[in-house]
Amino acid sequence: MGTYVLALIGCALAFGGLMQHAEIQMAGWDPGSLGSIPAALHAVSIAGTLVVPVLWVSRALRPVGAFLFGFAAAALIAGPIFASLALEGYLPHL
Amino acid sequence: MLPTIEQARAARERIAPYIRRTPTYAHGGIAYKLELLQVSGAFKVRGAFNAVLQISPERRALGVVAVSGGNHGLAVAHVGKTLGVRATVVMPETTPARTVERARADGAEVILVPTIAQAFALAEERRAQGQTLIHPFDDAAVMAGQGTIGFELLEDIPDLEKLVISIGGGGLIAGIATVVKALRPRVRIYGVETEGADAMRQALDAGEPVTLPAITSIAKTLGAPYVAPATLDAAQRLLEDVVVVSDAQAVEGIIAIQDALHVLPEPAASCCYAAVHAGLVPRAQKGTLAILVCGGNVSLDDLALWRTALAV
Repeated sequence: MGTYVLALIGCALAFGGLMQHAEIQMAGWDPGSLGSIPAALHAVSIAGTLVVPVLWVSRALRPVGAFLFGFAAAALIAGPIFASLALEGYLPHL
Repeated sequence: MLPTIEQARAARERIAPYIRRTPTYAHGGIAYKLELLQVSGAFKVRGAFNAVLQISPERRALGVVAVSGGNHGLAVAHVGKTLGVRATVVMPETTPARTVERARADGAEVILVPTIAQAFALAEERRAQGQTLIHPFDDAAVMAGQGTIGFELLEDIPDLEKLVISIGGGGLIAGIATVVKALRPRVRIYGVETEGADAMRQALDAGEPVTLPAITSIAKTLGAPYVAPATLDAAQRLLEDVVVVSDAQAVEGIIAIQDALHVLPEPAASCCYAAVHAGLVPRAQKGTLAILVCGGNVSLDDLALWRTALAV
């Protein structure tokens, strides 16, 4: 239980912080051009916070949890870059 | 408060029937947006139309009032004439006679007072009586209207990399920066002022709005004695830098633009050219550097006078 709570707090801080950083970067950008990117980033942040701690407490699933942690963090860091590309018209389908 | 990109979009639709979509020309590797070809000779009508068109019919019937010794006054007079709204423009007595005459010719009631402080006091009185004050820059509707230039710039210059805009009270640059940064965050925007009208540079250095004791620059249309907290916030967040040039450099810029593009800008517009050619604004690396030539309300007599006085 202690491991789960610690992992939950850690993920909330990490993903919440990255999400906050992404929101600051995208503040003022045209919501119409960004499409579903902000919503997708929020979903990654919340899902990562809920799922990664569950996987982390299981010794067998910990590698999967570690992979998802890295994946979610990378998505949140790269999100504003994709958003910028969307604004420039390089991702027309978003 | 700064406008949003949605407010600027709505402004574009709202004012489209009343304004010109001004052209952009390339010359010597620089793009020039010739907003001096706008109705009334400067960008100010965009904001004035957007603000007045949002006033309810009941309040519009009571009229509008503006304080200005230059382009904003002319713009409000033009808007009043176009929309059939009673316009009062309070001007300092130092306002050039031709500006007063043009505003009166558009049907505005022009009141001349000794100082700009008295002008604002009188405008406040008129506001208390029911007229709506159209502020030259500290108004989100006005900024949204000026920001419509940003859409046109991005449409006309797909590879826009750097943008140079002059600053008076900051409404123009705040509106355009809001639009441009919302749609192309990588575009770098620079503000330019002239010595003696550098309220934004001083505010940035102080970290808060600073009131200038007097406007000593010839660029009277940049002569806001202070910038608004909202426009200062925009400058802090959205601009790369605000640079200052001398009056002589601005006059040299008038002559250079006239030579290159065969139009006569006012010093409040030519100061941008001067800043670029003085190396105060870095040239574009891969894309295009654009200069907003924001107004052309200047006479040949003024130019001759400045050339003599500044030995240009």
